[in-house]
Amino acid sequence: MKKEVLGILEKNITEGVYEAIEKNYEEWRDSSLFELGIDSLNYMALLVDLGESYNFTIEDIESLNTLKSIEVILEKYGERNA
Amino acid sequence: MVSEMLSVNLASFPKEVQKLILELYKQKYCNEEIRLEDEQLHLNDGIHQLISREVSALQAIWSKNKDLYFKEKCIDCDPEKLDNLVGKYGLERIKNSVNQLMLRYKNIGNQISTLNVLDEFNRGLSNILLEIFQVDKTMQPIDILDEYSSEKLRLDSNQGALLSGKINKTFYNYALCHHCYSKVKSHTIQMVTGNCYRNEKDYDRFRLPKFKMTELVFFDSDNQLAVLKEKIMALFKIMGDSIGLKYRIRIANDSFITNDVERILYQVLNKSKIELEVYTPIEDKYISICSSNYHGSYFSQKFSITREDKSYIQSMCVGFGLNRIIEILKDAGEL
Repeated sequence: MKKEVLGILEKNITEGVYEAIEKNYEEWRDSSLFELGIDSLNYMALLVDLGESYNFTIEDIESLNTLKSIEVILEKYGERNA
Repeated sequence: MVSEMLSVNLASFPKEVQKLILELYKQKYCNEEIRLEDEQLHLNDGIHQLISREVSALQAIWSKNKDLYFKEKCIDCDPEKLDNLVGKYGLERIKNSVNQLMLRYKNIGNQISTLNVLDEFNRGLSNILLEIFQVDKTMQPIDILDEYSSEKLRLDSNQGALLSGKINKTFYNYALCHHCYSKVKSHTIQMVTGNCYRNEKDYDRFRLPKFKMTELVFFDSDNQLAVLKEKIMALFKIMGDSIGLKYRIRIANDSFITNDVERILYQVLNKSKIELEVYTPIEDKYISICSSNYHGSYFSQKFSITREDKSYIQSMCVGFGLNRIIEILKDAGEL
């Protein structure tokens, strides 16, 4: 699931921040997305992209706070779409 | 061919947010006809789907924590919910000290020099703050910010900042928290008192070119800062109650610093800036006397303030405008 999460991040966040996340992914899995350097504009882009690709509910979007939470949601929708 | 007008429902947002959303999309799509009527954004078919998606994301950001503190569909905090926070953190114990402090300066008028009043009031306020927050360090910085921080903060592009010397490009204090960022290395709470300077078009007794502030600056994780923010909101409630004038605690924004509507909108949606605004009948307006601002990683990225695992420490500050508080207390005392 890490690969999918990174794929989504790469499209939506600034390059330097993406590279740092890619390098420290395991260590940063439970940290808040803002603690990884994602700012509110990047966060918004991420939400819009995820909303478009998976048609998430508002509750799903609200729960997107960490890399792990993105994995959980992607897994949920992956299973649903399987 | 005239394209069909469709609508996006903005009814779940407060009116102020609806206006910001309209402004954002009018700027983004300046060639499109976009209007706001009956809480619906009316726009052309071509951009409807994209904006609908974006508005869903905006709704998700807005709905986070809104029911915890705010009135329904409003940027104002609900007093009852804030009273719950006062109880949650056991802050009833400071009510008496705050009431006494405010009462003393309400009746002081112009009896002694403003400078003495500010310093004396600040001593009382600082003691209360030290009782609530575990402050690690107190500072009284000089009036000029060093060149390194001035440059990192790009004060040269901030029209409100006042240049102190043209050669070394240093600036007079714009905000006191600016003195902390270059020195902080870990989780900490710091208290800073000093003078701030603002370059404005017009000045009055609530908008001075030089004024005194006390700021608390917090560096911690997202979760811990959320707890501290609740304590600040509870303190605002206690202070508001003690002044004796009409007041409101509400979401504010930095529209006086930036005209970037997108940033202002996210600041409001994230509820990053909360202010205690007190109504003065003498001026017939609300005056912000305390303001808390959640910065996230904004400053820690600029100054590389990281944890051992290299993730960014989050920051937040709360400022108490001493001149404004004293002016408001004078007004309260006169009525």
